[in-house]
Amino acid sequence: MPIRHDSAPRERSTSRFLSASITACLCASVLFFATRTMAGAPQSVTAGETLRGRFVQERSLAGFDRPLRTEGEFVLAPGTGLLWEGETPFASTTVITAAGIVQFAGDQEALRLPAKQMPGMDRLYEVLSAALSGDVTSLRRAFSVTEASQSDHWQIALVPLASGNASAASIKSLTLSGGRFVDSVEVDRGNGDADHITLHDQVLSPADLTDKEKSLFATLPK
Amino acid sequence: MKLLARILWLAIVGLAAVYLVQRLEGGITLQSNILALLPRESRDNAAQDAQDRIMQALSHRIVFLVGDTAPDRAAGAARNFSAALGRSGLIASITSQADPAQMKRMGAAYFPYRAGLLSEADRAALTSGNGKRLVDRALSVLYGPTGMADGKLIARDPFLLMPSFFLALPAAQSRLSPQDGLPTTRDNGKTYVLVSGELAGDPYSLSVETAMEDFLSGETASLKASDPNVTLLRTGAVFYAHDGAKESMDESSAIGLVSLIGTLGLILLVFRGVRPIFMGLAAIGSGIVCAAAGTLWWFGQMHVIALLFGVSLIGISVDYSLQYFCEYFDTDAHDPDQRLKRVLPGIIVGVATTLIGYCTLLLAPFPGLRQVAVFSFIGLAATVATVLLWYPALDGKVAPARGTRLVSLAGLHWKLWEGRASLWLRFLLVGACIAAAAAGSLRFKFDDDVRHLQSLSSDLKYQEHEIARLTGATAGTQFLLVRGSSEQTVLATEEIAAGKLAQARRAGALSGFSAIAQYAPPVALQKSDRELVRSRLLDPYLKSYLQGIGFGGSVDAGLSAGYLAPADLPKDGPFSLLPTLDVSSPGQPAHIILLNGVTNPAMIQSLVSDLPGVRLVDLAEDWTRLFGDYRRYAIVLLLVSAALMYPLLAWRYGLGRGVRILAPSLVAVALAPLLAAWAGVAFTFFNAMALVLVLSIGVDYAVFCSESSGTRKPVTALAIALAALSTILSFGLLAFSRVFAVHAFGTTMLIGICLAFLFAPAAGDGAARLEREVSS
Repeated sequence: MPIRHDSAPRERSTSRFLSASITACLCASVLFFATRTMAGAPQSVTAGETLRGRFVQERSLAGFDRPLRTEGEFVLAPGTGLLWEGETPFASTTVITAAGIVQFAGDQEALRLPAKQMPGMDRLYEVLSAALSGDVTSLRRAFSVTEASQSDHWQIALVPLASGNASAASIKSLTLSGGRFVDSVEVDRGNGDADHITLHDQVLSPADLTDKEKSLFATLPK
Repeated sequence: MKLLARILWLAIVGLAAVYLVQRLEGGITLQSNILALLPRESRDNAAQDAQDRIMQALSHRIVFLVGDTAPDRAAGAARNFSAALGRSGLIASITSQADPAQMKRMGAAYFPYRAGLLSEADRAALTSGNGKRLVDRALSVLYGPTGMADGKLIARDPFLLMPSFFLALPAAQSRLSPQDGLPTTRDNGKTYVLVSGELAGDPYSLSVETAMEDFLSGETASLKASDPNVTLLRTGAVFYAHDGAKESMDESSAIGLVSLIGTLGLILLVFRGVRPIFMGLAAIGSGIVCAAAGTLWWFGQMHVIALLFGVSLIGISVDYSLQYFCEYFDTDAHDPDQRLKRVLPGIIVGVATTLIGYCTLLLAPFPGLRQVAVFSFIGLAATVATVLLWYPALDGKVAPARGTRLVSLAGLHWKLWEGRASLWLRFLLVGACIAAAAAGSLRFKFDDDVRHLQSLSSDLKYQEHEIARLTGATAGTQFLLVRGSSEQTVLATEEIAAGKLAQARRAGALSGFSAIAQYAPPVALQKSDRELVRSRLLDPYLKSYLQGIGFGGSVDAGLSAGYLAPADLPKDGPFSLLPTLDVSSPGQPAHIILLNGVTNPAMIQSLVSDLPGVRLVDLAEDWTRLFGDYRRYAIVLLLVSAALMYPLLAWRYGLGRGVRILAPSLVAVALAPLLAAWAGVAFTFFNAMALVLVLSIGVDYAVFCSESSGTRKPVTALAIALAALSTILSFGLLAFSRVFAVHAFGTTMLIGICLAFLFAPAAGDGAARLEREVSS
């Protein structure tokens, strides 16, 4: 009876996949949020500006011998979306906009999740825009927010409210910290699963998306 | 003896009245589905049964979109509306709330069979030996920022085939997505929330329709009160049915009232007394009471159309009273008994021929028309019984009135058909009619299109169109019926048909379709997919893939599980339509593939024509064909009707005179459709049915004329003039109906009765006398 014991993962994996975009949106919204409203000299990223930087993402999953580690570059363009370009262990690109998510393995499109197929995606973009405009009140509808800051360093912990969409994504908590920019994101998914993302070499510049970046965003027409 | 008959008849009418009042108090069921008028298609019982079941299911569905500019308010209004709908008891089930457990149930239903469930794209990749693509996809998802896979999923579905299958399900393609547990869509700055459900009662029952309408107007008001911006779009058979019924009811009461007032006014004007009015009312009233009671007793319920046509019966039933009243102007008839005696033969022969006409309506296998026939038959018979039994008793022994001017005016009509003086006028008249008919014959055309039959409210059509646009789902009347020896055979055929339909969709022949096989692939396909997964994906890639990602646990990809059957699927959420699509009867597995937005049925027909057990059913097309068949059937009925009347006429008047009595009506029947065509009216089944009545009523007029001689002629002419006027006041008014079928019926009646009246005196003895004069 190989299947008998695993009814829980069966259910969980389904709901987890179908609400996959949520984490990504959360990350994006949180990046905006943190750069916009925190004390300790936050640098705001507004429409018309682009934040570029490098990331190291370490994903710990129960049952795996070692964390899945990815390194690469990210591009955050408010009003347009987020590019997450992994370089190691293999080339992969993730494009996230209000219209959904597209993933490329190399040059091949591997996965496409239009926002209209993803439960709660729209809602999360409301959270995102709320974060962009520093509207903590809106954010508090989906999360319980704990802020802490000392001199040039701050930390913010977000715990999804039971009623919000974020709780459906089986996220236990999100913790962000940083100085001028967000430097670290921790995503606790429970059951020993967690993402630890560190961001470095962030550069804020006027919007000057390269043609390649523009064409990547264009793969998700609104 | 006479007294006994009178008392007996009074008792019968009284009983009918008591029965009617009792039924009315119990709340009678008024049927408003115009298609209930239609006969059962007998050629293919299983297909008919499947059609009935899908139509039954679809007709119970109601869909609302609650819209607002603010998403929160739209959601709030939708929740309130949904709750109110639930409390109303009008709805058997509501599907507005996207149940969070629904997604889990869906996962639980499919997951055990994951190894054999491939999306079309994944199947194509594996078939073409491109398994590496699926490996790369799994890797990019695992390493990507979204984090949608974990160890437990990898252990069961290492290459994430299940999510790919889910995303390719038709339900995932819907324009609606759950927001806060509500199916929502955005358009033009507005948020719309879907609230849909199954009606608890019969959508074609007037009481259900009215309750729904009352509920909605109250609910809309309270929604608007708390939020003025909120909009409510709705669609469903119940709303169309209500609209049609309301139209018919409004019209029948308006037409009935005008008809009754007009007829009674006519009597008052011509006979200048209240006594004829009361007598007329007694005759008409007894007719209507007996007819309504009889129809309800016979059929258990009544169709709105029967009521509508039944009300117009007033116009015919008064004809026999008018015959009697006109005897007031007959100087030779001194008392009521004499009056009755003089009109008795005409009334008897007239009512006999008319009843023959209604009997042929009874022969038509149309349930609704049978009601019309029964209603009319009982109504006329009862009216005549009242006239014959009670008129002499009700009528005072008044001296004959002097209505000479009216009588001589009416007499001119008769003179037109007698004597040499007006010969040229006769030729002119007949010539003009023939010329107009010839002109009409150029514009004459048949129209059997069922879509013209129900004059759908443009507002409801707009709302249906908006809902279809916003949700991407339309309720078409076209579908494929798929039959086979077993459920799996049906699913396999469906799978092939779905492939062809996808092809047709790409070519723009339809906008979409729903089939059970899309949700539960046939076992044969699951087997071959499982083999593909094993040989082209797991065997070559699994080991190195797991090593690469460092997954140390054991993997069970589900290769040894059983196979998914339609019965394993949940019955709610995106699957709620599926039980409707299964129209199997014991030993006869059958599924329906619902087609949406069909623009090219011919292309679909040619694509599926070589699939065994697949039949394209186009209900509108079928009904149209059926109306064509029955239009031809009605023309035969007409001839049968004439053939049945002739022996009676020939027996009383002789072979030659019999033909002459039929002739004016036959001419009217032949010319009326052509003259109507001249006025731009197409010939439908309903026009043909109207001709059956034109024949009956026309023969009445001819019989009255034929029974009349000497000084009575102008009196009879006045009687038929009044009769024609009253008939036009009732049936003719139907020509102004906005219900297409009723309009067609009314127009033909209006023209046909005018012609029959015009030609009626030609059936008199005028020509015979001329001949005698010439010979002597």
